[in-house]
Parts: sequence; structure tokens; C-alpha cells
Amino acid sequence: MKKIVLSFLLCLGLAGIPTQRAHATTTLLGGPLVYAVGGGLIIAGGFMGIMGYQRWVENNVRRPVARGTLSIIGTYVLLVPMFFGALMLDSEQEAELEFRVITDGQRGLRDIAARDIAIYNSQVNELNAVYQTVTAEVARDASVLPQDRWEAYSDLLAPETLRVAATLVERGLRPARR
Amino acid sequence: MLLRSLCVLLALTTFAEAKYVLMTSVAPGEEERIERAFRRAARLRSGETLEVRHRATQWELQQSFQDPTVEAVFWFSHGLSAPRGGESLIRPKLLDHRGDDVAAAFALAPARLRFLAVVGCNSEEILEYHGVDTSLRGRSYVARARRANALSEVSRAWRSFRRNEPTRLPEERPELSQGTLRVTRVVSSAADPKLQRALRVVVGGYTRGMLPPSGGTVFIEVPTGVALDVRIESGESLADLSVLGEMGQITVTSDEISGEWRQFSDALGNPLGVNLRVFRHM
Repeated sequence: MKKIVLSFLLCLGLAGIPTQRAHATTTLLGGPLVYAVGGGLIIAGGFMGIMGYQRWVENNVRRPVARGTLSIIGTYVLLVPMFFGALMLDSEQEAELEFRVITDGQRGLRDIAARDIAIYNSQVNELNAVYQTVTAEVARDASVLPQDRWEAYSDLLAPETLRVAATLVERGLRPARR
Repeated sequence: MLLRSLCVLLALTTFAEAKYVLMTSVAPGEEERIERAFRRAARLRSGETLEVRHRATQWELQQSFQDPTVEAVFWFSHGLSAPRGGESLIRPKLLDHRGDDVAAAFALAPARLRFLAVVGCNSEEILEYHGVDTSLRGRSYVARARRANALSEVSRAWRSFRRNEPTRLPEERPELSQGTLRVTRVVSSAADPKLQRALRVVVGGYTRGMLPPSGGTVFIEVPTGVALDVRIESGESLADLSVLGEMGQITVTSDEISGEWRQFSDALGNPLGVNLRVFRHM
């Protein structure tokens, strides 16, 4: 049992399961891809605009005072959309991890024994409860080691459940290799 | 003649009682913007009433579902979808203004509800993950992926629905029941009411009832063939563990189903889980 728990912890990272970040909407504008592309384009466009504007002022305005004033005003005006672009890129929220029931023939999990999946499925709620408890205990007290807490609760879960969970963590938190 | 007049009067009375609920659970500045745009797009007729609830919670949503005079519910909030590809372990969420996940509460929408719109990023995908049937027959159901055109989408669906409104509502098919569960929640008097959340009662993978934030009892009819294990969840965000509500003392019993429901706990009897509790039928 200890070996399974340790391999599970290795997959999770000994500091506990990392919380991932995922996109969420924050305005009425659109979805995550729109944010990323739109925000990036606005920032890039703003930067190019500032460079072009500075060059135009340099070439066309002869009085130094007027050149300086126009340069500063124009830069600030162009910084405004860049600021909103940066906000669009920052539209993320903390996401939470959850183990879910594995359905028949789920892609990428066909190599796991059906018996193991059945046991894991029957304990998926309990697994989530243990995961939440361990995460909370570690978050509340920095001296608490996640491996100790997993070890303490491992008897409440079947070895098959931990084995399948370890596989899911290993495949779910890393880029797909299919 | 008198009978006909009475029928017309009754129909008018029924129509006048029709109530629509607009619920938003977004940032304060966005709420008014959504309400103004919605009122413009919805083109309410005389006699139709729109009840608006900003900073709505899943408990208020459930109360709207239980109100027999409510014919349509429009929900606006943010969606947090899981990244595509791989066996993602990220839980997709429909977030309320507090960051709580309210998606599973939509499974409580009754069959008599004529129109339900859930607007938020990837809401359709999120609702499906939580076992909410988005293809209900006999009533319109809108769950849009993008909110840029969501209002026009919803108002178009709403107008089309009103034009072709079904004369008969889909009948609720009574399912064969294996009995009723009694789920009771007792919250201590020291619990901060501002932090308290309603709890969803999930049986067989579907939300089938909700416990009030202040505690109480809910009765759940369990259809035959459904596993009797019970999961109680608040959907509360775990981002800040120092400001969590109290789940309280929860018990699951039944007069009709034999056996007992044992709470998943550690060796000392402390229940495991932060925003969830698990009860196994023995």
C-alpha cells in the first residue's frame, strides 16, 4: 500500500496537488481564445502604434515643446487600449481539481483494468473527500506534510482506487501525448 | 355564456400571474448592464412581470424552480470550462458572484418550467458535465457558449418560443420509486449566516434536492435502479479556506429503504471533505 501511495504522491508532486489555472469570462466580450488573441493583438498593435506615432511626431513636428507634448499625449492615449488588452489576457481564475467517474472506453484509459476502474468509480466521492481534506490540512498548516496525510487516509481507499487516481493525475495534468 | 366568461376570466388571471425571473450573478457593474439590455431585448408584454434578482445564489435559483407561478428563468453568470484535450481533472464550473459552482443546481429545473436560459461561457458543456439534461423536450433551453451575442440569441429564442408556445406542457412521467430519503442538516447557532451556503443533495450522480443555508430537512424520492449512496455538496469555492461556511451536522435516513447511511469519516469520526460530504448506504 505504501508503495502505491508514494507513487501517487510522486505524480501529484510532494507539495500536494497543484491547482491549475483555467480561463473564465469576466466581461461580455467572448470566450478564452478571443481574450488571448484579442488581448495579444491589442498590446502588439498598441506598441506598434506608439513606435509609429513617435516616428511621425519626430519627422513632422519641428517645435521641441510641441513635439514633446504631442509625444507624451499620444503615448498615453495609445496606452489605454493596451491596458485593456492586458486585462483581457488576465481573465483567469483558479480552477479546482476533481476526480470523476470513468465511462466505458474513455479515450486514453483503455489500458486500465476494468476491475480497477469499477472499484475506482465506486469510491470516486470518497477519493475527492480525501483529496479535499489533505489539501485543506496542508494549506492550513505549513508543517503538515501531504505524504503523511495521504498515508493516514490511505486505508480508507482501495489500492485500485489510488492506482487509477495516480494514472489519471499523471495523464490529466500533463500535456496529452496521443 | 356565463361559463365561457368564467373560462376567459380564468385564462386572463392565469396569464396575468405568469412571472419571469431574471437572475444575474456577476460583478456589480455588469448586473445593471445585463438587466437594461435584457429588458430592451425581451420586449415584455403588458401583464407579464419580470422579477430581477442580482447577486443570485443557487438557493434563490432553486426557490424560483419551486415557485409554480414562474414560467421562465434567465440566468447570467460566468463559466469556467476545463481545458480541452487529455483526461482533464479540472472541474468545469458555472460561477456565481461569490465564485461558487452552481451548475449542478440546474438539474432541479422542473418539467413545468416553460423556458430556461443559462447564459455564460461554455455553459452547455458545463451543464452536461454536471448531468443537467440540456435537450429537454417541450420547452426551450438556451445555453450559449459566448456572451457577445448571448442576449440577442436568448431574446430570439424567447420570442420564437412565445410565438410557438406549446399548448400543453410536457407531462412529468412518474418514475418507479424505491423509497424516500430524509436528509437533515443542523447548523450551529454560531455559524455566520453571511457565509452559509445551500447544500445540493446528489443521489445517483444527479442533484435531486437542496438543503437550505440555515439548515432543515429535504425529502428525496429515489427512482428504482439508482445507487443509494448520497453526496452532499455546497459548490463553495475552495480558494480561501478561512472563510468557508459551515456544512453542519447532516444525517440521511429513510423509513421505506432498509439499511443505514454511514458518513465517510476518519478514524476519529470526523467527516472527510471540505465542501462535500459522502454517505454510503450499508
